Amino acid sequence: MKRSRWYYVSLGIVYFFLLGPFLIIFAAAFGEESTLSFPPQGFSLNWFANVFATEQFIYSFWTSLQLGLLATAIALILGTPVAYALTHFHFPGEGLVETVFSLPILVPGLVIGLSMLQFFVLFGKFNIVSGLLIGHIAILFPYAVRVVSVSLRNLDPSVEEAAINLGANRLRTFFLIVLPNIRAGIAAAFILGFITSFNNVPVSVFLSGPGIQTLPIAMLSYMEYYFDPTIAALSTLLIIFSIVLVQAAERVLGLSQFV
Amino acid sequence: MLEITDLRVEYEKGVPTLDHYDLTVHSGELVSLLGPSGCGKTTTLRAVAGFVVPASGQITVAGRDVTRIPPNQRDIGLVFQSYALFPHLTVAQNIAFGLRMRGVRGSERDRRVAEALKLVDLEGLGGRRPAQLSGGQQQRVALARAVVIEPQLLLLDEPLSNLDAKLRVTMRTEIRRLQQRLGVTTLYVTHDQIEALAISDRVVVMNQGRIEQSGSPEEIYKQPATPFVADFLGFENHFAGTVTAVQNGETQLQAAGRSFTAIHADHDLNPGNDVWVYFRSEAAQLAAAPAANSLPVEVLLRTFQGSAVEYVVQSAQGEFKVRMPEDQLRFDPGPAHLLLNPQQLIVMPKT
Amino acid sequence: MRRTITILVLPALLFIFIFFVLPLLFLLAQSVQDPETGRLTLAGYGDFFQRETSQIIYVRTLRLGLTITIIDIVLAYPASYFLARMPARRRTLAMSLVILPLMTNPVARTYAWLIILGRTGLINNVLLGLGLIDQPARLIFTEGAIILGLAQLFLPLMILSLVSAMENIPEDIEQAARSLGANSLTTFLRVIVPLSADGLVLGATLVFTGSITAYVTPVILGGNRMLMLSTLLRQRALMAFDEQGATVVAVVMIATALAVNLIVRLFRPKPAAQR
Repeated sequence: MKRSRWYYVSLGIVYFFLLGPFLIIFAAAFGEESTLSFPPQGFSLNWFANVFATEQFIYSFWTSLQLGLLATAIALILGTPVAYALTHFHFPGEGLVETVFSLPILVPGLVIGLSMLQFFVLFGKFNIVSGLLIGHIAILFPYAVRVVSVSLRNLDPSVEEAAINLGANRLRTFFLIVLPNIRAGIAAAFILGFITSFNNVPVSVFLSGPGIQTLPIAMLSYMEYYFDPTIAALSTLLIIFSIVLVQAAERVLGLSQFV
Repeated sequence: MLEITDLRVEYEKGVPTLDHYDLTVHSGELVSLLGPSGCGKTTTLRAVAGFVVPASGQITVAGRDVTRIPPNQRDIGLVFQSYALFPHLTVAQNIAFGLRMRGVRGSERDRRVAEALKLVDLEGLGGRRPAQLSGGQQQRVALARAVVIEPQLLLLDEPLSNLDAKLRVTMRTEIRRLQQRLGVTTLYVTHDQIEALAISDRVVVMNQGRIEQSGSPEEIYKQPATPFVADFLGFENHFAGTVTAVQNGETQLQAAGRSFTAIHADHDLNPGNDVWVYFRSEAAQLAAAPAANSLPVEVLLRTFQGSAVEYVVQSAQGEFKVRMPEDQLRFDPGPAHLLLNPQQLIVMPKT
Repeated sequence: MRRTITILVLPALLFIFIFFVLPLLFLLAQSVQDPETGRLTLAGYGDFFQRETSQIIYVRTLRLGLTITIIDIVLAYPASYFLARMPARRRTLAMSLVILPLMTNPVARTYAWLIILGRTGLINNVLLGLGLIDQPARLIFTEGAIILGLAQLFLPLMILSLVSAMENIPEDIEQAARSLGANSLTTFLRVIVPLSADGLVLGATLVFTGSITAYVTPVILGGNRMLMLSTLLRQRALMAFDEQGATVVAVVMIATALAVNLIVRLFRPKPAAQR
């Protein structure tokens, strides 16, 4: 393909717009001044030190990490059988089931968060942690079901039939034959689910409570009181975290085909 | 050995893919199901394997009624069109899978896997992954995997369709030799008539869920019983006629004012019957002068095909293809006479 | 068979019904219930649609959504074409850079715009330095700030939709058009654009519904001064403790998003490249 002027202009604008702001965050994170100004003056690592000195961030980071891992795992454990049923059987209400599991993508996160908050308040008994966990599991279902379905559809059905023909029942066939062959899809679903949970704000904002905050919520509340570049430093770390995760996933699994 | 009785299969309720279907395969026999796509041959095979649940009818294997037995308890070897090798397992693990499911362990399992690998000439490749093998090698693994469990019945679903033409010929010989060596009763599905004729003890030609004809490869090739079989087996030419007399195994015919004699006629024919007369392009010859069983034609086209020459000729009965050895007299476009060999005229009633 | 399917589907279905569908139904019920008497009333909705502030916010939300969608279409179309035609290896890298903003912490992603648009931020400093303005302009808490933030956030979705539609267009078709005398612009407009229409519609739907329901960006870049539906909802629920008011906003939001999806589903073009 001949690279026309248009090639450079159009891609240049897009990448400048998408990634330029990230570079500005990186630069701002290393400034000396305690107010947020750009271009930054001087050079210091104080703000990075401040990130690790702020208990709120450390604590909420662990909360988000555990929440993300647990919610994704549960969503996959519950969602994989659904994906299996949708790809292997025809049954009445099939379309309805598919729609129900894609709803959490269609319904705005903020509405999900609000409705769950009111529901949990109404029926009491739920502590904050389980409320947050339940909310995150619900929003991860669509990813779990869809990504696992895609990889199940990519598996030649006669491979499973071969195992059954050779004497394996459905359950053994699933664990011995199907599961090892959809590992990449499961891993992709896991990464996608984890990122979604880790970055979620609209659901968490209603379901967080005293003492339990996810990292993005902690960042938002910090920003209400402080205007120093600590958030820029933390953002720098999180962006690098995303780059590493996305690159690794893309290289190993071809993540973009599942998004 | 395999007995299918009055089988009916419906994918859609009320619309049968197979109906009133009967088939018997004797012990040690290799029977192929031949037909175009959608004729029900793969459905038959899948019903025997247990992946299709019949609406009615019965399937027995070695006297055991398997109609309601789940597919994983049937003890039937199956080779898939796509081979369906387990991508994450090695060749040896693929072959061992069926033994594993049967609780065969340790040295006994290793011995049988090694034997199977030897049987298909893949010694030394047991540690490879399927993706590291050529198409022909994958095919052999699929075969080894299916026969290592010593099934009572072996099913092959278009096993050669993913191979190139040359390999197809080699593999088909190998499959036949393997089958004869093991003496395993085999049902073989294919849409390729040459493959079916070459490999089978018996060929069953299917069309629209019914059996059109069942017979030895020679019978099927030389004496098709229905117009469908004749067309499918490559009879290039046919014309309409009327029976005038039947005697001493000879059938006298009348077509477009000319009379012909045909020797073969399996059907009960009576004078006055309307019939189709089929013949292959090799069953006729061009001649300069008229003779018995000849008709006047106009040569339209001559094409050189190596050892043979093919002519397209026009007659009162329509266009015919004629194939003659290359060293015979050459005919250029223009009038000539077509001599039909009475031994190779196939007469069947119009229905 | 039926038992197997039930075992597979039921646990997840129960979960989603109890913890997702049921709460939504309660929310819907609450929006039409008088908080004092518990009677059925549409007063909440009447209040929402009659009060000028909420009218302004609703219209603004839709207008910003539309603006952002158009900006993303214009930015994404040519770039997506070049991305779709890249050799596989380079495209993998290029696409992973495109989806990076989607995968990044939303606060971090939005924070950059504060640095760019703030009182002592990049743009003000540049304009002051050039002498174009005398004192810093207020750039945050404006519609423009929200548009920039959301257009950046959702551009990847637009590009992903367009690239996957354009990948399916065989290059032969373009060459055929070129051989028949079309120049590259005509080829793009007459061949590529019509054949990728389904990707465009999908992308536009995602960007529009995403924009009118987005939360973090309006909170940080719009604040309480430039409210959108989402920030209005937050205000009513978490600051004014007006539960019914919040549920009404929530229902309006969900209804708008579903309506857009429904309309698109009814009128969307068939995937052209597979026709």
